[in-house]
Amino acid sequence: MISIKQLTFHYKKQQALFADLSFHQENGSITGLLGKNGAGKSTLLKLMAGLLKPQTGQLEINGFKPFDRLPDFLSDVYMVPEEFSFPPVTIACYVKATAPLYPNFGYEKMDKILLEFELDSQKNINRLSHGQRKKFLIAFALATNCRLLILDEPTNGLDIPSKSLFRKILVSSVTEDQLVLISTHQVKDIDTIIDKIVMIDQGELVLNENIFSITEKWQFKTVQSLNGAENVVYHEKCPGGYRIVLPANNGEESDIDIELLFNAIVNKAPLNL
Amino acid sequence: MKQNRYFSTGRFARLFRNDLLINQKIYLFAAIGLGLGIYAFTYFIMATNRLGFNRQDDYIPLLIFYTMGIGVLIGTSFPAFTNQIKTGNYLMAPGSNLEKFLVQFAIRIVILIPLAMLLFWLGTRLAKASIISDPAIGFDASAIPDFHFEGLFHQLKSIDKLALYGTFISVISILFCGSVFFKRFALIKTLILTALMVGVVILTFVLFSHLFYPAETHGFDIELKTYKITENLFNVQLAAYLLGGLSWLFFLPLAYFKLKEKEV
Repeated sequence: MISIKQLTFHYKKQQALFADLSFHQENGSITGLLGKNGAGKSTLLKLMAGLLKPQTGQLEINGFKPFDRLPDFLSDVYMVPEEFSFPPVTIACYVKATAPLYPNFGYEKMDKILLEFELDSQKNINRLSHGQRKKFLIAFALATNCRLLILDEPTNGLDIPSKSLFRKILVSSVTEDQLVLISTHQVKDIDTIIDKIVMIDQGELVLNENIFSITEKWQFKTVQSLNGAENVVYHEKCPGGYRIVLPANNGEESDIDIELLFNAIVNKAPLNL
Repeated sequence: MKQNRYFSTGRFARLFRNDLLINQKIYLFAAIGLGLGIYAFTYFIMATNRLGFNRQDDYIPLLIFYTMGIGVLIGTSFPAFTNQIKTGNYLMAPGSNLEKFLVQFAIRIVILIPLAMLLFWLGTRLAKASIISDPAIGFDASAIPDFHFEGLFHQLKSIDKLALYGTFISVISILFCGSVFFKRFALIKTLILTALMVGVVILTFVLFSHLFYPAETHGFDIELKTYKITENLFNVQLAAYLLGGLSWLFFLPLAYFKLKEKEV
């Protein structure tokens, strides 16, 4: 569970990245955290992981203040950072050394995910490719069974089959008492697995909705021409026509186009979400 | 429950095991390096100074150089803090700040120092055993004394020895503390900062000497008013003992609190 109330944070000698940011999220969902470059997504994730200290406001994760870095908090939160580093040991040695620190670690789950990702546990982690190391990190993160999983750009560096495998494994291994927070720019990689979108822009929360209520209100379509299209609140040119956002008619739902939604919000389209 | 928030034996043991398993090769190579280093260095000194190396005190310069090597290992504690990614991983490892602090303290000080001293003892004895006598120049290898810890600093009074050991612990704690404070080149930065601090203290003493004893002070002299506290103890001596011997009481907690407040 994430509870943020009037959070303010700024790096030394810099403008405030967040001012009075408030946000609440219960466990049991896979949430996508979106925002432009420099919007403060990674900073927010670091604050949640207890790696940065907020200046003012309240930040609680699973009932703990992250920066206290209490052991019970740390054993229930796992972060997959965008950039990572491993010691020069084998996967088996790393698991043997690190897994006991996580009380709910699932060894069988780990073996299963390693098998699905085609990773050999006798291989030295640092001799694996970037994508393979990322897969190992994701596998380890999921096997910890932590209640909060923070994934910062998890699909960066993964090849196409691995991306779909990642989605499959993530959806099948996450339980109802877990919360997965995915920060990414590769929205197409996660659009089928997230059930909630949180978007920050210029230090403010501009969207905090679940996918169902978004598609209930808005339709995302591709049309050849804007002629005849009524009530279009936002459009973008694309090969072969336009991608448009318009209010959903009675019960007529469409698949969400997160990229289009993101651009619509950033360009201040009147979405009233 | 409250104790469990700050220290749990099980968690400490798991963190300790984690560190040993992850860094086993580094620690093994460091131990081999120390052992081979002191053996080769002692052999070289004995071989190049065959007739001159005949007293227990001749081991003291070797021990001083060796201790500097140990200082380097202690000054590189908390190796994760050398880069941002490793720092994040380290700070997020499930364990309290106290346990993380104690793991480094245990490995880099509690285990390292006795192990290093054992390697010194072995290395010097092996070096002596490897030296071959040369009757042509009247060199008898058996005349070289064996190294003994108990014979060290025999000329010092017991209070001076105590102060010496206290100073050793304080220097170690400064190096240990520096490794928490600085990200890169922690050892060099710690040494530079320590030298600067000592310089500032000396300059302050010089300044005060000129202020309070203008007639007696010349140039960079330090004029101190000394008096006897007891039959064998001067005030300046006591101040030096306290400063050298008890500084660790300041630096070790400082390192802990810096670790607690560490950010990425």
